[in-house]
Amino acid sequence: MRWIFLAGTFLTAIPAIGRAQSTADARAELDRLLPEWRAAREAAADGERLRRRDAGATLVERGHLRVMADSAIVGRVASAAATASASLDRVFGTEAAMLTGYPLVALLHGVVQNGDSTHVIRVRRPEPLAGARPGAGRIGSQERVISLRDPHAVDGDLVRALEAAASLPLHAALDDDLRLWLRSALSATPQSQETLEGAYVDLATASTDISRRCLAGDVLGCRKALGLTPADDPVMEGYTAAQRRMVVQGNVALLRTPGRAAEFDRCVVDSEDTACIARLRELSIERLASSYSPTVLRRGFAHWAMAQGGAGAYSRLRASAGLPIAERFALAAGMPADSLVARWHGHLMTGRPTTPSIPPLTAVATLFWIGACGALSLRSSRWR
Amino acid sequence: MALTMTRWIGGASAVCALLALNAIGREPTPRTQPEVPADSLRLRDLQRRVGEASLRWEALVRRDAVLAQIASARSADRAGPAIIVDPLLPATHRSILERAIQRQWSSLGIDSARVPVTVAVIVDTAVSIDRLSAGRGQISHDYVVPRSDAGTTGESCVAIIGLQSRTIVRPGTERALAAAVALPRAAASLVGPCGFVGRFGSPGEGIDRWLRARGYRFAAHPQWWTLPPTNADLGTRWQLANAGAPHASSTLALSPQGRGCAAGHAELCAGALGASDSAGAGELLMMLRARDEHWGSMSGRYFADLATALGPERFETFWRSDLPPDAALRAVASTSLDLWTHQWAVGLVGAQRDGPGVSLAEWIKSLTLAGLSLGIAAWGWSRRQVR
Repeated sequence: MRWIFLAGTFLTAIPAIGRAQSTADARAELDRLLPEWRAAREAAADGERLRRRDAGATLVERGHLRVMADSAIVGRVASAAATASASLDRVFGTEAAMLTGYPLVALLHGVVQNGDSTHVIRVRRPEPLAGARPGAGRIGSQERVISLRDPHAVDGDLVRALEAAASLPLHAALDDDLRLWLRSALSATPQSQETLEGAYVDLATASTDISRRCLAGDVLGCRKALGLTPADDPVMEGYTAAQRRMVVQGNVALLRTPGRAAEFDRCVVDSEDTACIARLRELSIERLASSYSPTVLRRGFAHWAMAQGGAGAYSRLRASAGLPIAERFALAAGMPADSLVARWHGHLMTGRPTTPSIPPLTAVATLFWIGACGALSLRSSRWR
Repeated sequence: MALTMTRWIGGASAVCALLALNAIGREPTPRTQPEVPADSLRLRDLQRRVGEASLRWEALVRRDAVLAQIASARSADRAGPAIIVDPLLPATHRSILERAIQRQWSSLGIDSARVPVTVAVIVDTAVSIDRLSAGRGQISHDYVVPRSDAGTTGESCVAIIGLQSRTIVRPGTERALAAAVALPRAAASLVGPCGFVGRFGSPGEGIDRWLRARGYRFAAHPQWWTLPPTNADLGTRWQLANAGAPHASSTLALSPQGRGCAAGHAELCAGALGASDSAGAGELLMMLRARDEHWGSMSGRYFADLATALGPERFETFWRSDLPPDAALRAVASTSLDLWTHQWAVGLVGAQRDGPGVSLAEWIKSLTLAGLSLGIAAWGWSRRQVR
């Protein structure tokens, strides 16, 4: 009976949605749909709870982290949640307490990949958002899928997925300035040596004025590379001539406007740098900064600064809204901004990769295959 | 046992045969997706409907605010559009928008608007109830296109531009705003269908009815060029105007009907211009709702490209016609709407192949490559052979 009633409501609502032309009508329509939507949300939440009960789902509580996991993976999830919770506490301190209001779900699903059946663990926020705490910014679902194909990698992947998914509500609760500076949620996963090496290599191979100055230890250069101080002229300082041409070429829809097509062509076809500079002047600072001030560098700096500040660093960072970003990190780390950047530069330099050498296994495998091919060729006779 | 060439070939053939047998013998594994529960599906459907209703309500609130302002600030000057910009915007942002609107207006060659046009820019960064209208984009484009007798009643065509993201309205974000309105399609959307109304007057009854049944999406991006008058047919003129090579990814937006139309099945063209999301006379046109399932974002230029191909005089006759578009087009250009749509699609996405197959050029390339490989193998054979 309830379904018939709901279907009737739905059918009567369809024409009105499309035709509502007075604001009052549209508002009335919305008011009529909202309770139905909220009821459906609650019904879906109830259904989800039932399914989890049938699947033997258990609520795993580790620190401030809450994960509803299927019974088949509950042990694995509990272990990962303990590690993730420790990371969250270390990075976000007392602010991680808000995560108790944002539980996660870990589900075991059978899927077919390239014709083979396998299982994956999906880590996400519960689909019906009923009961979510109001007031925070918008939080995407951003589901993480962990394949069980490689048993050695599963536990590490699961920890990283929980750390990343849990950081989304914390990111949404940040003020605009800090959220835009970070660009995406700062995960609690500590920066690995590979990430540090990657950041060093990116900086060393960028060849721009800003990157060179930062690499040489110039604090102002590093501040610009981190987006803590605006570049005086991002087009000239943040890009080489070849990079300018590439960026212009890559933004054809935006930069080859009818009035400026000739200038665009002079840049892209004739490699005329003055034309490239003129074209790039029309791009927004944010778009330009994404190249010379990469997110990986900013994240690495944020992690490192908070590690320097110890307990309460993240709370100080959050509480200092309204101050320039550099000052906020200085407050969080408990040292002057320039000292902080200079010491971070020293830390970044430790990411310089060592000279690569051939691993012994590769050397042995190479010799084996050379020998095998040689032996086969010696046995081959002339073709008769 | 010596590894002679015959044995090498025999061994390789045996392995290939085994692999082929294994592939043929294996039952294809059906691709399975995790089952989505019925209540989740119902929730998603309701979420979409509530989101749409929320978007519509927000657009109507913006419309009411703008119409109230227009009543008190009506201008008699028809050389340009009347521009009303939200005083909440910083001066640099206002200047960027005013210049972008004026530039777009000038590019349309409108000396004196047949029907007064107003472009209103409103800052609307408030988050909707329960965050229902998520994903609404940085800028919304809504239009109030007057009825066909607007020329005499003095009704104006109104473009309502809603700035919905703080990243383009806060002080210091003027370059982001400039980038957001610089794209050709975004610039054309600043005036939208009002560009046609300003340049050619109110559409005739037949054209208006046809466009309203399609949410005016085929007139969303006014941008035309003036070609010298020639006796060439519509398709040839369109080819002359549209010299750019088709974009490689443009076919991805096409529906099967759209692709069939581009492949020469003119009977499918009418279906690809099908009605949906209809709007009554004087109703608010929301371009976000009017996304085209057959042509993607290309549908917005359909009428603008027809204006380029026909030339301004003939297009004006077509635009103001009381006949349906097919009859109106036959009257001014002796061409059916289906044929024009086919020519337009070919110009935009290139000629499409009718179903899967291999082109003659691909056949020739494959045969040449095979012949070359055989020749090299035979040459090597003759050199290795012991006589």
